[in-house]
Amino acid sequence: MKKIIFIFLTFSSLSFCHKVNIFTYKEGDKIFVEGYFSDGKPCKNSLIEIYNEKKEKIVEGKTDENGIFSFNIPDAQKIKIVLIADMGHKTEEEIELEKKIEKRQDLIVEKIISGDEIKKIVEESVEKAINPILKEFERERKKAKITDIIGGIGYIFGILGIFLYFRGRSSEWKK
Amino acid sequence: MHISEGVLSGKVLGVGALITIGGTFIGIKNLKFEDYPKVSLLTSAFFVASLIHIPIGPTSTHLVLNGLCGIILGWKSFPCILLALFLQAILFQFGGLTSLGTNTANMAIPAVISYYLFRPFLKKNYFITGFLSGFFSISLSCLSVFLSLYFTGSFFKNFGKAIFFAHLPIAFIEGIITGFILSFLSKTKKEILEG
Repeated sequence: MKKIIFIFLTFSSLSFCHKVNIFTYKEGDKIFVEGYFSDGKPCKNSLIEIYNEKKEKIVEGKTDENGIFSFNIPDAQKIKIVLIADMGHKTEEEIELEKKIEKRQDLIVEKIISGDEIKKIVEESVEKAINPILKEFERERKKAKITDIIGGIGYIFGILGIFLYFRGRSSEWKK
Repeated sequence: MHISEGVLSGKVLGVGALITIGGTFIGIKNLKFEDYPKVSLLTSAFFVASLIHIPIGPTSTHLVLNGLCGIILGWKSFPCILLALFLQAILFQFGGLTSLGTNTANMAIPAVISYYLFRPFLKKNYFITGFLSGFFSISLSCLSVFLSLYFTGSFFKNFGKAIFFAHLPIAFIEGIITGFILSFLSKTKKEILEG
């Protein structure tokens, strides 16, 4: 019995979940993509493809052990992130990028901290602080809700009830 | 087990849809007046089962319960699974609407086969028959998911050998749960298992 369990544990690296989600966030000059299954497990070694607005592939790579993949912010306005995991799971997300602000050189000339630089510093630290919260929020939002579950059961009984209603009126079941 | 939208090729989607239409047609034809409560109950069970995660080892899986549907409903599992998957697709975004046909076929064909294979032995031992049908249905579903992906021509390198072993934990647990449900039903609500 122990052996059987051991075999189970060794071979069960594929995931049999039904949905993959991605969470993207920006930190400094990089965009991070985090892939996870609907129960919260990370998508390890999953293929990530990034397309620009002309549908050309600009970046390709694989997620690491934590399901995270990062790349430098590309020179595009809109990018599409596609994640492909085992067993036919695929998800995609489109994000819009803002144009990169200002050039660093101006700041060096001024030698004092300009408003733009302060803005950049503040933005970066806010991004860092807010990302974990955003991530939790996204996870919660994408979870199946109890109202949906109960609603779904209601639909099933309702739809079959309608079926039954129409059959009930036909002569078929009166036999 | 739920294949997402935009993964499969048109051919595989088409074949899956055709099988599902045919199977659903046969299933609805077989549907008798007194079957409706049973079908609604099992559709709901199937619908909810996918939300129950079982964490084992590094992976975590969810129940499918197509073996249970198969052994109780036979061909009627086609309409049952189709409806449940449709609602899962629109409410939870599991799978997708275009892959609905293929997903239904992948889960319902093993259910129907397990009906013919194990139903005759149901009265002999509820638990063992349940275990076998649960185990068998999941294994066959995995195989047909694999085949759907294989005929699309993608993902082959990713599993190949592993597929035959990786599904074992789910099949095992599914078998045990199906067995318990059947032996429980046989003691409390035997009429569900009749006809």
